[in-house]
Amino acid sequence: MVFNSLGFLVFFPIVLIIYYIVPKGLQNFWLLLTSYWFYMSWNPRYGLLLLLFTVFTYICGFALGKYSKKDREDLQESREVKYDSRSESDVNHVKPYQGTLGSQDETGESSISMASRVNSEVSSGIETDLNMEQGISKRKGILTFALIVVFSLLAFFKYTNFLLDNVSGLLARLSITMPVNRLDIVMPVGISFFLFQSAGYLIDIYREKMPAEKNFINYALFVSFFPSILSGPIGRAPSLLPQYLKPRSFDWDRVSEGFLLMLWGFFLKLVIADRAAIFVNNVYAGYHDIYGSAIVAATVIYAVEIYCDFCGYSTIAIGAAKMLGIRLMDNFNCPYFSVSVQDFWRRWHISLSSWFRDYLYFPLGGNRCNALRRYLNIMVVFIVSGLWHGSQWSYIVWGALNGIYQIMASLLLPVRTRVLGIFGFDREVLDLKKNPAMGGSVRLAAKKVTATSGIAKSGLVDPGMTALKLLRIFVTFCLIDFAWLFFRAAGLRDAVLMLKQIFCNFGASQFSPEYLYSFGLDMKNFLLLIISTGILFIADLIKYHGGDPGRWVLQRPMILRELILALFILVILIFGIWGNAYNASSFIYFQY
Amino acid sequence: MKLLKRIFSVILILCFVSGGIYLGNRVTERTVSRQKYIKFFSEQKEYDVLFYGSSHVLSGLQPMEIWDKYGITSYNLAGHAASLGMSYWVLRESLRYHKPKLAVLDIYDMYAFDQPFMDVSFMHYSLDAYPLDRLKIEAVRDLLRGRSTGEKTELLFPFSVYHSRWNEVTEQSLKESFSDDYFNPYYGSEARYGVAVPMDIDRVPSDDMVEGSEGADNYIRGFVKICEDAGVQVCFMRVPYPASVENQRAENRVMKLAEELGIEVIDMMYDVEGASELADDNDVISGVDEDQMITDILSETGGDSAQAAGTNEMQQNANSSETGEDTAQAAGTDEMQLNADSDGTGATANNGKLSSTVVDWDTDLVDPNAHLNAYGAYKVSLFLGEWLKRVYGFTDKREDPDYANWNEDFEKVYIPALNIDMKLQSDFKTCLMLSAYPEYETELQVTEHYQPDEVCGKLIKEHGDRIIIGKYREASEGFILEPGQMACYYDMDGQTLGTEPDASTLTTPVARMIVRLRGTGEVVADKVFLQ
Repeated sequence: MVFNSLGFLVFFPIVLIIYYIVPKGLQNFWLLLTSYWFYMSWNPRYGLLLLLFTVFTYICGFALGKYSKKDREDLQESREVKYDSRSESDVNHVKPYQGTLGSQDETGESSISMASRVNSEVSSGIETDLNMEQGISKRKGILTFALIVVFSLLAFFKYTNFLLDNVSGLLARLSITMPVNRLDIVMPVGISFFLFQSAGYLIDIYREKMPAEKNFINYALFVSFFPSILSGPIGRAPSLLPQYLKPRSFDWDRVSEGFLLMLWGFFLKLVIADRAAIFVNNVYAGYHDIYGSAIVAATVIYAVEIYCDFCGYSTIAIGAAKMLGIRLMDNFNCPYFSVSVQDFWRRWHISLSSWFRDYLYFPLGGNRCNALRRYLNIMVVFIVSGLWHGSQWSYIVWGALNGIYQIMASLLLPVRTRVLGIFGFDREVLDLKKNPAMGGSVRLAAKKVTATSGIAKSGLVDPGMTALKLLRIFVTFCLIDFAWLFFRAAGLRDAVLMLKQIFCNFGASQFSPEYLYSFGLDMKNFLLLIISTGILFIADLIKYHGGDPGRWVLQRPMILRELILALFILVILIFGIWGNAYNASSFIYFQY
Repeated sequence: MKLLKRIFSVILILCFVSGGIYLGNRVTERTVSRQKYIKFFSEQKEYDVLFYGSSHVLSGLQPMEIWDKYGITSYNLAGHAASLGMSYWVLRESLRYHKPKLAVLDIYDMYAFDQPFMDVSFMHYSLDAYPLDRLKIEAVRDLLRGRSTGEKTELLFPFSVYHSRWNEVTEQSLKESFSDDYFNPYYGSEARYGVAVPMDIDRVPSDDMVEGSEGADNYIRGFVKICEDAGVQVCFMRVPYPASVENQRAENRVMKLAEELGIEVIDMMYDVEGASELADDNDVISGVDEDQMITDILSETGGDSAQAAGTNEMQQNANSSETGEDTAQAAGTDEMQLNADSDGTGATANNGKLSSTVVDWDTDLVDPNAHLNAYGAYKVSLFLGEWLKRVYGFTDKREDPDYANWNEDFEKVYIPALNIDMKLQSDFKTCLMLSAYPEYETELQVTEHYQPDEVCGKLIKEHGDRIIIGKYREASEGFILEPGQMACYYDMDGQTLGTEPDASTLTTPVARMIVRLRGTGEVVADKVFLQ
């Protein structure tokens, strides 16, 4: 069942109505039931896999939590012994471990009384240190074991055949004849998303950012929540799980906002992405006989397609969750307004980028190491990110390209600064932290800077700076879009051949509207694509400057508001690519 | 108050969206189904006969000709590629609007292996016009059992596919969407234009038949039962077409089942030769000796035109038709008489090959293995009209003032539509075929390049005395089109040339054809054929 299917249009209202009718205590159970229904509509066997995986990570989380709690106690005892040995009065300054959900342990015993109790057990201090070390090592062991299982599962489903293909290719190159057969593996849909979400949960418990969830229903819902299970956003346990603890009541305004978000998502997916896909698919499928100019046009349109496709999905998911009273994290923030590739990755697929940042980049050392190591970390993160998207060399190249862009940007920073200096720009003009107007809305930056330093807004709206910013946005888009070619191509070889077509057979003289109309989109459809992309651009521009078009619509007088909403629905129904003739095309990110 | 406001808000959105969908649906829908049914739904009186079946029926008979020649009211409810299952459901839907005296079902493809399977895109043609209700849902569920929800949804809510036609909306399509003035002028039929000659096919003995199929049998029995329950007489017919051996075997099975059910089959591919040899009493159906019946009707309506008499005889017959007999009758029956065999039977020795007692394979098919062309449909209509009059005793209503609208439609809708089609034709044989309609008279001027083949010769004979053949003289300075003339290519073999050649590259005139309406003399088409 996909969001843009008739099944979902029946499924979701039923879920929503019953959700607000059933007693609050059963809301999570109802959501869990419907989430499994939703997931199993793809393949009932996937449901069993999901359940087994949920049970496994639940147990691992529980075990991690158990040792974490013991660690807390041990740590506390150890500290108090040390304090006690120095000064009796210092006991009052002992700060017990405070998890995200409170300062008392399960027995209700306060840290101070616990400290008093511990004071009488000075002699056991050495033994406590030993226990703590053992606890840490057990937690590490559990987490390592759990992560190995989790990522092995991902590797099995996603990379086994990739590996076999490469082994087979390598053996062939070495003239070794050994039959290597591909395995008939059907990858469970959304596996990359819920595995990463669960892995993040386990790591967060290990890092003691949160306690393990004891209620299995809540945890299972956290893993399988139907709006986000297939394509994210990849939720974070510390922000999601507490939401499942609270009962949710029907809130008209929140439901309206969620509904509007869903409509916007459907607009992006059905009107823009699927229309753009017709052109892109035709060009990419027959690139051998197509001029390079059309491939360039298709790659630019693909940038729009993938944004609208994935952002569309995320927006529908966020809207649906909002209607159910659950807040999912934003996944996109005007990515094509980015002034650098680094900036782009702060705005694109935020839930995944931040996951890689928190759970891979930082543990590798992040920025706090020498330049060489930092560059290596960046490359590791982006190559892994490429692999996450798909088991093909073209994805790896795509990821590597994004890493290289950032390394090059860092290496060329002095040169760029010097060149900009020639044009009279400040040395720190490229630093987004020191120059917020460059990386975001001038208006918002002005507001912030005016409030803190009293600099007038007009001082930030410098035409030269605006021109530089637009240039940077353009260059960033070109770089990102060049990488998209590898992302979209059927394989690395196809990507290379397409580049060859672009550079050797561009066919500028053949590039005409009529030529473009021969790839499945006639003039009217092209015009509609341009208009609807223009609407997206305006909406993003408003959002970029801190506005909220959705809120603006909801704040209109009743008749006008209802008219706008109805018009929006009709635009989607009439101009959207949907219905039996189109076989309800899936969202691109389902395959990852 | 807040709650009421919110409920009102939701209702308002629903109203706006529903209204928008209704308008969007009207604007983007394919109007072909609606146009087919507009006349059917709007008719106030009950029909005498309704025809059901596939494209063989759709292009195989003209209700307006049956009306004009016999005064019997009928409507063609057949559909493109319609399966037996579809005919069954169209019967059920249509009976809610009209209860005819007789329902006639074509037996073609009743035992198709995957009954009631048919292409969904063709289902729209037969079902779109009917409103969404329980019966339609039942029909779609039955016809598409085992198929995807998407396909079912597409039929129940055609907007789900038609919305993508927004880019095809034009001023003309908007007019057609919102006006009942645009309707099928052929009372449900679709005339086809072209001439093709099939290969010879062996006739299969009547006792050689396929195994029955429960699904098909159920639909056939269901069709009969629904008619009986509604008080509607029912009969089957076999519209002539070059049936393959497998099709003939399947049709023999239907004949047997029809016999079991006591249903008459109007078989227009009846084996007159075989029947004469057998002289079997079992051929008496409904108290009528079918052999004799066919012989009689053919002697009335013409029949096997391949055996047409010479021009002189035609002229004599034509002259006799103007001597005070019922002129309306003369326009039909007597015209067909022109082409009748001298012995009046139309049946000829066919050496065990499949033949039709009603149409001529050489002139009356539009494609070599299936459908009748407009003139073939004309012959079938006349045959059916005579049969219906004789066997079912339908009275002639042409003089009945209550049916004045039918006469008016014939003159103001049907004939103008034929004229437009006549104007649009560019193939020589097709023009000869269509101008053979008794409504027209033709002047054919030919040059020394004109060499008629056998088919053209037969088509010319079909015109009887309504064609004058003369010589066409080119202007000394070369060929020049006169105002109103259309330059067409001349295709000696009657084969479709694909894309119409550029007339400017064809410079040698072969023939000029001027087609006029009989009576008024109005020029309907003036075409010059070049090579």
